[in-house]
Amino acid sequence: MKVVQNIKPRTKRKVDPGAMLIIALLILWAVIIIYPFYNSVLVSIVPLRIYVKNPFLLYPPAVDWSSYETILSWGPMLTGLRTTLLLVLAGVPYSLFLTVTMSYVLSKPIPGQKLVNLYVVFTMFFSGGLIANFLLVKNLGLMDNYMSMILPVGMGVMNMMIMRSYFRTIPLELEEAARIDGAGEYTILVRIYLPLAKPMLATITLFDVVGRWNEWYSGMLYMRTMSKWPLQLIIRNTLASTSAVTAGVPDSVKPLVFAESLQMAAVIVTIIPIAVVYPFLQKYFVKGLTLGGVKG
Amino acid sequence: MSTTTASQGNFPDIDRRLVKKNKKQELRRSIWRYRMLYPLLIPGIIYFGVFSYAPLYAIQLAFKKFSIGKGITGSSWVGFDNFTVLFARTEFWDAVNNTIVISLLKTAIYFPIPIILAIMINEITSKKLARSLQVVFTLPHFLSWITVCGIILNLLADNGAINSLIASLGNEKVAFLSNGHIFRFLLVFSEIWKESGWTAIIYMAAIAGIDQSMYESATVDGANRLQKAWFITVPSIKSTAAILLLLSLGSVMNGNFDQIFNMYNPTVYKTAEIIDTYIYNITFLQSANYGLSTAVGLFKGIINCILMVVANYAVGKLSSESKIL
Repeated sequence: MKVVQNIKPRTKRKVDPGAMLIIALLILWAVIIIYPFYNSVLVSIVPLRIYVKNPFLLYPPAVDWSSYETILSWGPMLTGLRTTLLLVLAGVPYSLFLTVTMSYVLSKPIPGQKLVNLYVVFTMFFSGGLIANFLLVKNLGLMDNYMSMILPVGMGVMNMMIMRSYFRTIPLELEEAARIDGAGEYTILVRIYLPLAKPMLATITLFDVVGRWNEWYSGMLYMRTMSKWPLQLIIRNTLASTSAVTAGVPDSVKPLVFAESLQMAAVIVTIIPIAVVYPFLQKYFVKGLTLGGVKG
Repeated sequence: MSTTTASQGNFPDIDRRLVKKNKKQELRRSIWRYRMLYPLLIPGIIYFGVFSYAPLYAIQLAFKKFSIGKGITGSSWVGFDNFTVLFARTEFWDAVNNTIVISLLKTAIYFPIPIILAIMINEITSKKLARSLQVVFTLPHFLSWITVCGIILNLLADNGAINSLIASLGNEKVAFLSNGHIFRFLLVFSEIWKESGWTAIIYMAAIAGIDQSMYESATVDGANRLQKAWFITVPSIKSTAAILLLLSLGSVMNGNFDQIFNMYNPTVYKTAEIIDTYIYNITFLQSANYGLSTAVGLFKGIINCILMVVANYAVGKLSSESKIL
């Protein structure tokens, strides 16, 4: 009996050049994404004398935290943060309430549904424009009022429709069973539909929170007092000119902080909360997009 | 004897009036059944009424000369005068031109990139690596344009990092922020930088839905990676791509106010001022002429409306799930 011997098992794994190239290109793109942030961090922590010699840096030869100290103790940064937090804490529940009530009702085969749908969808296609909205807020007496930043940004039509589709996927049997048990409409909504819609609600909430955090335009249009400006508007102001920031800086610190450094410090400070939290929440954002997003 | 019944739709002897009465009763019963839900609509209806429909009243200012004292109703009519003045201004036509050119440039150059990214990420076998890359690529989407413009302006300034590098290599500095044409491409590429990762996610979801057996039989037939991508993946995501393309074209008049407003400066107004930034300019930065601003807004609004309706109609043809109307 011939026994085949000496069969060497193939231990060598084939190196896939295609996969290597793809990974290399993707990493290159990642570097392109990351580099501008890296540059900004460097500009914000490097002393003026080093920056003046050569603004292009790959590493920090010396580190100076004066810019961060200045920015983080600057009054308007803190009031800006306070305003933005207010926008998030008041604005998100407001938007959610509007979105959920409307999407829930429109998810039912209710008479008048088509009319209301049209009423809502039309707003997506035609808007009054800057002047019209500006005059409205003015005439409502909301100038320099926090409400001018919260109320007009109420419900996104897209969000409402995604929520509506989601409600429709919940089987009607659950509702019927609850009705037989004597449950009223509101009980059904709160006890049955809302808990089941939690994933989608969470996603919408996340997107809303990010939207409110980045909000600045309504603040620029309607808020006259700087202490009421949202954080992003403060940053924008700082990027335009750092004189307001350096005004309160003691003379001992003045030579240490320079405009670009302060500006980048301000920007980085705004980015860090998002950058830190985002990796953990990324899968929820992605899930939301795929749950309610564009289908083909 | 005929066994057809009324429930089968044959109403040979029944009065039409009776049918109508039944339908009316059904409607009333339906409304009664859902009576508790109607109040829930009220907040939303009021919201849109106040913030979307009420402002439409001010559109008449496009045909008026606004004086603050007289208010919207009291201001005097000037017919099409505002439009005559507007159409005579070169800045206006520059703005229209820029809006369209920049939007089309963006659409054309941006379009394939998320697709390529999605296909490439899909090829990675290590899930960990794929996820980490995804996090990096999608993060810029969640930042405001204010922060992104701040970073970019610092990087590309005349005395910024990139120009210093270019100068130290012996070349002439590039006027990223003051050369009109270069600036346009900066707008395009910064948008790609910020958004393509997130758009790629949409395509990745579409790719995830592709039947794997197609790839397996392709492997058996000896297809390589590129061939599989071109002949299987790309056709399968065609409708997703078409929808995104249509939506993008439908908003060609919109441009990206946040991006341009925070990135541009007077030296590039000629090639970068879009309609929305132009409206802002003539409303708040020049002596306020609300009638003129409203006229521009109305002009844009009408064209925008038509484009969006057409785009959504086309999208609806492709996928009844994705249409809005």
